[in-house]
Amino acid sequence: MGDSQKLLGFMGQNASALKKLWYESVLATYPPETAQLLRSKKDQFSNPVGYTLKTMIEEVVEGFLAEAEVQELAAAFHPLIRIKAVQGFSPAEAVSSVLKLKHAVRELLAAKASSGSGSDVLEELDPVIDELMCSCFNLYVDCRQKLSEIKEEELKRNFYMLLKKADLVEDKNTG
Amino acid sequence: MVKTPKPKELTENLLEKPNLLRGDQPKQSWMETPVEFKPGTYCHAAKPKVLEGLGFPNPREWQPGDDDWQLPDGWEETILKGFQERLKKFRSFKLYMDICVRCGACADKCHFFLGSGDPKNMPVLRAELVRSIYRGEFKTAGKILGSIAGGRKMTIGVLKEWFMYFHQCTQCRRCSVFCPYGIDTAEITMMAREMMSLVGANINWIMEPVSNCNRTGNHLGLQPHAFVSSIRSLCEDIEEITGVSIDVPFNKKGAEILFITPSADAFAMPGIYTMMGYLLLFKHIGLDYTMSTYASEGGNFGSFTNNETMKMLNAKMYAEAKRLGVKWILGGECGHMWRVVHQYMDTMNGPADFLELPKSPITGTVFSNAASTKMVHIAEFTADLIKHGKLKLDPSRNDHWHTTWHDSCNTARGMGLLEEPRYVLQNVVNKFHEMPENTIREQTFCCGSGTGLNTDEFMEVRMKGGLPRANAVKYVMEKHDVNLLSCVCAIDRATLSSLVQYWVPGMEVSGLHELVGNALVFEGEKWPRAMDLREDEPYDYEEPEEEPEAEAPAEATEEGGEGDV
Repeated sequence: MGDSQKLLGFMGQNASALKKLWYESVLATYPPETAQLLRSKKDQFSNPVGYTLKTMIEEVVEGFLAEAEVQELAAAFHPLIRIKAVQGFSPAEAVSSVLKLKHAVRELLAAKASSGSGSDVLEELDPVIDELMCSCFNLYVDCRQKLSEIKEEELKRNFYMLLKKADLVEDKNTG
Repeated sequence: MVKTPKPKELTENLLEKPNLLRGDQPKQSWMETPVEFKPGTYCHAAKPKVLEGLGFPNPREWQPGDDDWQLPDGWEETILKGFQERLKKFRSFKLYMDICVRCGACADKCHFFLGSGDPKNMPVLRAELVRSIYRGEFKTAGKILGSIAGGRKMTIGVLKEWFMYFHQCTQCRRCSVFCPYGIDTAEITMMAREMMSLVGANINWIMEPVSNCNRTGNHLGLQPHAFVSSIRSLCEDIEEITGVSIDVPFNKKGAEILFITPSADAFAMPGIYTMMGYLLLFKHIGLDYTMSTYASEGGNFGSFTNNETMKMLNAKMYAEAKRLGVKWILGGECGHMWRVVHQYMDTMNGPADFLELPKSPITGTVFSNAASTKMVHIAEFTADLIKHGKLKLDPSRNDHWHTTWHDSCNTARGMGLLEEPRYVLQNVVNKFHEMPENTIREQTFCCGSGTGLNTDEFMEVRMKGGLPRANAVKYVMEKHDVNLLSCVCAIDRATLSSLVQYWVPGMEVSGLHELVGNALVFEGEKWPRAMDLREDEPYDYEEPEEEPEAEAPAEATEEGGEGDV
């Protein structure tokens, strides 16, 4: 991630608060009744969305601290983006979880304004957020594209023998 | 041309209107939040000609996204009259309206809620969409106090809500497992769909298969010759792959057993491989059976509309069994066919006294569990054959598969078929891993596409509804290298294939009897085969060396020297 010592220092000192703030801000994109259940259940199978969110936040913040490459951080985002891509969110809303990390950092910086290192931290954070946003937007578009492909392939599978009879499929795998 | 927003509009949208980007939430409670029909979030409306043919009310051209649903005058009274009739006719419905204490035990058990995060998909709230009308229109407190007593009046907004959310319930009954009062939310959905049918609020993906099934015997509306031709084509494939020649009997009067399975097994991938498995099994044991070109569908989409239509389509199978004079019915790998047979057939069309108590002609086992319906599930039948050592099986022929088992809601929760398919599976494969405990057996997660919601325009909702299932599948793939999700339901086979494409790329889906078909060892066959039933090449097969060409006899080169072959 290049030279980001201020950012790392700040995140290291505030990791726990940052995770909490970020987690709550993404939860707030869901209705309150839902957020309550997403928050309360810990089991990954009884609560796949809440678990995915929690894991993503953990992996991204820890990834930052371990100085992971931006692509690794982006990969940690992907399971959540894949979920949000089918949950009826607009594209902007679906990828907004990335921005919420920035907002959480800003909020924490504001609360600790006396430290005076805010602009340095944000300067180091901004390019990472930009790259993460681009990567997540790409994934969002891939997910939506995948849905179209899945529809098409399902239709072919559903009518496979009829298409075969009409000589409209060459191979079962390629259609 | 696409309208591009002006900077001022963008500013208004982003900064002044409520915006989820900033964590804003709807200001109203769930009861006042209107539904919004966006493409991808609803199934298309039933076509008028389909409703006309079936004699359903209010056939017209419309779509759920339209502001005006073109409902007949007095539609509210029609629904309320239907509501009242059903409260009287179905004791369970009345009970379920009255006894819920809103404890919330079901709230986070629904796959649609877990995947969508939409509170109206909590089973308790979904049921409340109907229960609030029950209170507001039929109970004194609700009539007087309205929303204070949890009551509402029947309005177009409520009907739209019903349409949206009772088409986001697959009647899987997972929530019912956790309800301390035993409320079967699926039956509330069934009632809501019945009432919507009274005013023509139906979806086409349900009504067209019902219509086709009623006219020609199967969901696609294919006529007998197309059905026969498709299965014969599969027999040709079987012979090419295994060397086993099969002649399937159709409409054979006096056969011992009538075999009925979903038509998807005859036409769709990957169901056709399951069909090949059935046919190989019947050949292996020399079963005296027939298939019918009229009862060419096990599925019963009637059960997703109203009880009369469900009864009509179910009766067709029994009428055909009677006409052909069989002793009993063997049923293939289907979901809701079994729900209907197991839970409703006896009341609607039973007992099937003209048939005999099912008895396996191979093992002599009497299936007394099917004493009334006279219909045996093929997983029970095959498990019994294996238990009695009647099948020669080589599970290593499925070693290219590392399997897991998806309990289909209708057969698992609906009829308790938990052990038999697992017993069969573990006798035909060497590699098997269960998914986590709270995602299988009675707690199994639905595919997210049952009850006639398996249509392509609904893919987005199907993907979120199937998330909890896919999440567990992904887990066993990552932890145990599982690469095949096996099940006994045609809708599962079709829709899980799409589901895993989105959430678990690389996972394949199969029926149970496809794996039986691969493992069956036939007398005198050549092994290894070049291909499995999918015509993939997982075996250590070596192309036999071609014999050196003999010198052609002089006369063969002469014109007309080669006869027809």
